[in-house]
Amino acid sequence: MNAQHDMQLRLRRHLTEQADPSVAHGQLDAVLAITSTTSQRAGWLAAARLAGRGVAIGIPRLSRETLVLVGTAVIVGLLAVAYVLGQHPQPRPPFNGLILFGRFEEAAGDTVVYTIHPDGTGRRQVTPEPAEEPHWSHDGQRILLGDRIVSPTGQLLQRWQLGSGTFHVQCPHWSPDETRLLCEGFDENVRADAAVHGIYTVRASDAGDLRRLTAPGTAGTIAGYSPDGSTILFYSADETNSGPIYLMDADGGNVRRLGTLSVNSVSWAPDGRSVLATSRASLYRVDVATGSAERITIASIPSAQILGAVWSPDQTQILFKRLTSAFDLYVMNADGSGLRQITSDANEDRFIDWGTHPLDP
Amino acid sequence: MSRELVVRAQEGDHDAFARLATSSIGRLNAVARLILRDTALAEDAVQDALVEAWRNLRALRDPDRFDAWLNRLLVRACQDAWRRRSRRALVELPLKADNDVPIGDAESRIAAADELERGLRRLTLDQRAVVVLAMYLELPLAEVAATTGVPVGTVKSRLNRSISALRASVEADSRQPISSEHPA
Repeated sequence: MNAQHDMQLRLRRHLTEQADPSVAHGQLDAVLAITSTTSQRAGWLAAARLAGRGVAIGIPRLSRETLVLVGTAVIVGLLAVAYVLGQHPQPRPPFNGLILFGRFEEAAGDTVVYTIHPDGTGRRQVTPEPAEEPHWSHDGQRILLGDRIVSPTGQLLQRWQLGSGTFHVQCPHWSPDETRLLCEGFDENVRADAAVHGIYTVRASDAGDLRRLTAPGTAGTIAGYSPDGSTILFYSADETNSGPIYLMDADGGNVRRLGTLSVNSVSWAPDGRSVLATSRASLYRVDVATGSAERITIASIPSAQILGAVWSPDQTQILFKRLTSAFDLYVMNADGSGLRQITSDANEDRFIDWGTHPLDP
Repeated sequence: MSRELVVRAQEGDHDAFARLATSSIGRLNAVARLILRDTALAEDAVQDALVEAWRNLRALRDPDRFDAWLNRLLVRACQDAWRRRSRRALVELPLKADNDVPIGDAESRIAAADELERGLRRLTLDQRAVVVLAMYLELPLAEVAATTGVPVGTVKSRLNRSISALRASVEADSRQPISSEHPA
């Protein structure tokens, strides 16, 4: 979240520098010419007109009909999930199921979440609402989207709102037993941020019991709990969105640096003994016990850049992002062999996670 | 902004409204240009907002909230102008060539500004409106919510997603497409 913070500072500076309050020649005269010949509406008529355009009403409320519709949709969705689960017994993990990713859609100007088969077929949009950092639950039956949980087919299962005022909390990671969520908290007010910026956890069932894990001054981009739940992985990104890897105990204690790489993505191996990290567009396996880093390359293209990577659930394959003509997703075996491209799109693919949800027939 | 001027304008005093418009038009222009990234559209939106303000001024219950109310009218006018815009090509800022390596602080600043500018243009209009209101006018989120007509939670998520998208966009722009990948 340091990078988020730095981006806010850059953005404020940029907007201030770019702001152009100049008044075009004749602009004000034109307004005054129109208004001088236009009569004002009566108060009640003006109020009714503005209300109809959503101007007089600050925060729109959901109508009763909308609430009933949403409630019905949620119940139907839950029943559908229950039906599907009853019809299709789950394979025992580890099982390399559906891949989850976000695609920045240029036209919409936002990130859309998709699932796709590991062979690149069956791409399906999860939810019409944009979202960042999607992650599978460990059983592959739910998807966490920072401020809500949906089914793999997009039904809303749970939504919450954490933080207040300028303080925001986003929760992109599950604990292994799925009783807690791991979150990043920050304040958009730069001065207030120093006191609250950090790593937090909340109860998964209702997003209650918000607990701060890190002391002031310790924050970073979180990469999740270790598979045994004992350790949290994160990296501290600077303005270039890269920085050192850190581990800390699940209660927030014993923060220690892992290895010497400056990374811009990091993720746990399913066995918890190493992490995958990308640094300067190269992929590394970093040993948790020693911090030593071993580079992994694509066997057929050793010089290829790799930008963000995760293991398959059975730890035999690596899913990664690569920039050629665009940011697309690829899969290769653990030894770098068997490269295959699974997405090809002019838009940027990002936020990857590989889960255990069964593949479509 | 003078409360007295607003009250007089509500009573139909056009001179009072002219003084309000004169003191507001610069701020409105700046905000509209930042949201729409198009000077002509922005000036249309500001004109529409001010004319709507004059016509509907008697609906404003609290004269002290004139500026906030005018912001709301402006955001609505920007949305209308955006929807009405023709499909004419938008003028893009000049981009640096792939092999044009910045030398020195001035070039670096220009390159960084270009990256941000491209990122801002990739945001949706609603996202840009939230970013400009929160980060340029520095309005509290509740005020941004009231101005844009969406819940505070939506404002928070729009702002958060906008910043993330800008980060991603800047990160993407700072990388070069690979031209030197060689099969083993």
